[in-house]
Amino acid sequence: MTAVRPFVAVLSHVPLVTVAIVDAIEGIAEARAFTTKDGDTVGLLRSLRPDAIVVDGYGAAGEAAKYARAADVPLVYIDLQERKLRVLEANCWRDESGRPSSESLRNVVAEAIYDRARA
Amino acid sequence: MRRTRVLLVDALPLFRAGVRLHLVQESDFDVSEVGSLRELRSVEPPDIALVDSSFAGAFDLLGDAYVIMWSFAPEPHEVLTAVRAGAHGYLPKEISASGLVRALRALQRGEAPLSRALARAMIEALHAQKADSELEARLALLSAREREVLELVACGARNSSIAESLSISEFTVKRHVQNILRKLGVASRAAAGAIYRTALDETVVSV
Repeated sequence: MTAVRPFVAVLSHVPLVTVAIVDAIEGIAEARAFTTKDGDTVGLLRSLRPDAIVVDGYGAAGEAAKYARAADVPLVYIDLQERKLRVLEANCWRDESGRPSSESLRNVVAEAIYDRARA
Repeated sequence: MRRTRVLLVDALPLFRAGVRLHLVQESDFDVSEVGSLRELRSVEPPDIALVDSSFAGAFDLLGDAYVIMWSFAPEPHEVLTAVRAGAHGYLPKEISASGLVRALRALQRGEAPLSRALARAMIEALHAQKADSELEARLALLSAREREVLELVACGARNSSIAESLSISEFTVKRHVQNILRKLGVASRAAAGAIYRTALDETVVSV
């Protein structure tokens, strides 16, 4: 029997970053990228029902947070302007130390997914 | 065929990884990367450097390389500053992968990578600077006393109250106002006041 891989929805508005996000996560989950321009982010997430969400835009992060809180799904926000990785925890953003890299993103997403699975 | 050496100068490892993943798929680029000016000092100057706009000090370390600066959602003044500092082009970091490849190849053909939107924004910024300098030149014709009078005119003060504020006669105020209108090339006190307020907004007038 094959275990089902967790599914991570990547909502990205920067094409050059999208590929790096997907590449970083692919080893631990099935990552699929969606553009977020003018989209109904909450509606998209409701239809996808991901196990975790990664976003790289401020607006999309706010929208995705609404869904993440309601559905109790981990949300990771890559703040490209501030060069920070932010994780939604109990309605607040917690900043990870260091600058976002493939490794730090993979670690944060893995921790979030497996914490949720254990809960 | 010799490959074009492209150097990424950017403090965000994830962004560098994304650019690298795209460019290594092209057979004509050889990609390397640094995340700080300290690291930049230890590498050979490339053919083309893609430099984040926060690395203004990179120009001196890049030799004869073509330098393209970029940033997220760039503002016109950023583009203008970068081009004045020596950048050969400016790109938004939101550019598509194919757009980036086209821009790099265009640079090798002698073209300046600059999106249409950024080119227009840069021209507008240049026009705004020209208007500012014209305004500055006209205001520079005013004497110190005329500037004081103009400041009060811009606040809507009448000649009598200006005379009282500056301890001069109303006749002298009238003469100053006539000189101000002539030097600024306007027909009314309201127009002169508007010029003063514009100058204040643009900080042409020191307060």
